[in-house]
Amino acid sequence: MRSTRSAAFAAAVFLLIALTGCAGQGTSPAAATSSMTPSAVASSPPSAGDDLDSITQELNGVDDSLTQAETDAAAGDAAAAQADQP
Amino acid sequence: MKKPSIRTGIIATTVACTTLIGLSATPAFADTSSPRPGRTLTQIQADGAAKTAQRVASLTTGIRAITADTHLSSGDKSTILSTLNSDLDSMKSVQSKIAADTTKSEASADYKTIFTTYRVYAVALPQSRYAAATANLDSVAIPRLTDVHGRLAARLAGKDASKSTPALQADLTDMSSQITSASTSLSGLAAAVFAVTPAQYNSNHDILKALKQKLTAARAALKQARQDAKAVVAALHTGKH
Repeated sequence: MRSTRSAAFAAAVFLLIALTGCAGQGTSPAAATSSMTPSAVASSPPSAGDDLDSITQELNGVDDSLTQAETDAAAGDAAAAQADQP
Repeated sequence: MKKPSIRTGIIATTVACTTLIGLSATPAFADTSSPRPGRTLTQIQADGAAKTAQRVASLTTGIRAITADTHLSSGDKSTILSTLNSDLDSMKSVQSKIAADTTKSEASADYKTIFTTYRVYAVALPQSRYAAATANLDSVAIPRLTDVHGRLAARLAGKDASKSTPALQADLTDMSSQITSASTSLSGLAAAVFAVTPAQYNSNHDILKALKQKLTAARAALKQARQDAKAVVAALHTGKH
């Protein structure tokens, strides 16, 4: 009686371990994606649209730089155009 | 590697410039700035007060503009502001000195230094703004365009190879050429602009013009490079060119 109960308990534990192990291996791709950390998602290669967008943003920075340089040059010209003699 | 050398050059030439300004307190050049003859001490002092106040106001505006410039590196900004603040202090000092002068000859001599020694309009303000523009293009526009060129070239050689056309490759080639041209124009330019002294200007009134032309050429080249990049980006967006 005692041995039968022990065997049943061991079988139950074995079955539980087996089911738990199989669950991890059977995860669907969708489930894997949903469980990615934000950093893992962020490090994925950007899509083509995102990459061109970042290039466009960089070109906007160039625009700002050129505009500022133009403003500075014009201010320098304006100062130089003023008479510096009495 | 180019950036530190320009910054170092600016600092070195600023020190030299400041020294030269200090040494040129007694101008050894043609006097083109004598007060009108026959003026009284009071008239010279009033005119001196007006002329120095005008320059103090302009320098203050220039300092404000450079301080607000978000494109300049802290090192370049510090160098430019140091020069402008030095001139501002000098102009206030001259202003006080003229006001305290007790003879017409003293006031006349101090009055002349407003123009021949400091050259706020002809040298100090233009050189600070030209140097700011140069540093801006050199440290912001060129690195960004160089980076964009590399990324676009990589795309046309890789994931977007199917979209590459001779026209797009020509745009990239021109972009690279324009960046190189601008780099050549800007090389050493900020330091050269900062090296100009009032004494040099007194001998050659066109001394800043040649430097300004290089700045203008660099700006034009970088604008073209930007247009080339935008043409490639637009083509990649639409898949056509």
